[in-house]
Amino acid sequence: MPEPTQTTVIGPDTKIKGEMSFDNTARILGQFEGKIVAKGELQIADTAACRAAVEAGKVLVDGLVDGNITARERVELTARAKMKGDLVASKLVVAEGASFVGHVTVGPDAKAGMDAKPPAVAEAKPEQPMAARRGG
Amino acid sequence: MSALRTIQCYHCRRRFEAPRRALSTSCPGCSKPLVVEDVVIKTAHSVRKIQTCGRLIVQKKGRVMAGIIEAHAGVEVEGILEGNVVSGGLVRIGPKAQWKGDCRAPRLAVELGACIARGFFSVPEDALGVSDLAAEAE
Repeated sequence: MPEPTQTTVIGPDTKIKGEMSFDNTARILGQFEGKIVAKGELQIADTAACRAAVEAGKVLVDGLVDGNITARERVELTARAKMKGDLVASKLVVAEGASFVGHVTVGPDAKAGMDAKPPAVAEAKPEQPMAARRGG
Repeated sequence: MSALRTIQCYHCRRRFEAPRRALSTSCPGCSKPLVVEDVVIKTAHSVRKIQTCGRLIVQKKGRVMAGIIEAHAGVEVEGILEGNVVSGGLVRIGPKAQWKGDCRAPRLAVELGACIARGFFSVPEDALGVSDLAAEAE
């Protein structure tokens, strides 16, 4: 019989700065700043605020993320999600209503680029590359 | 439902009301002709620019390659789209869609299975310099 999945919960009144890694599922309800490396699933709840570079198997975003996300399997942004940063994943689901600013690479080929380039901590990105190009 | 709808000129950005059933019109501000109807792509299209005050629909077997794509009422992609999209409505990327390019829109929905080769996404964004036209129309 398979073992039940253990979930690590970072409570809503918790603030963490630094690097966090875990093998199973983690759910963040509070604030986190730094880097997260996960083999399993990372859930960012609607009360959470993450300023972090995330590398995980699956990522579910329901709250606020400022940083790059790299997922081996899947990233899901719910309607309440607010994300700023680059996103690399094999599969992506974005619910209508989600807020997102950043570069996206999604698909089976995205994984190759992911292996070559580890995610960096979020930095301010130019928000109007297209407008600049259109303007000449 | 009102017989009129608010549209915005993609040349001068002026907003005005036009009959809901109109397929084309001209802007009272700059007098330039405007496409108001939905643009449906069923086969391969390679153009410099696609502009409409309606929606752009890329069907399953459709493939559109354009420098600039401006569809004020929204974009729906089931096929292949290559280009930089600016929309005032919902951009929906279907489960079998392939997307390559930037996207600026007030609303985005990506369904499981969609493939996005590269692109800068800015959602929500006051993409047209006005509020969400599609939501206003509803």
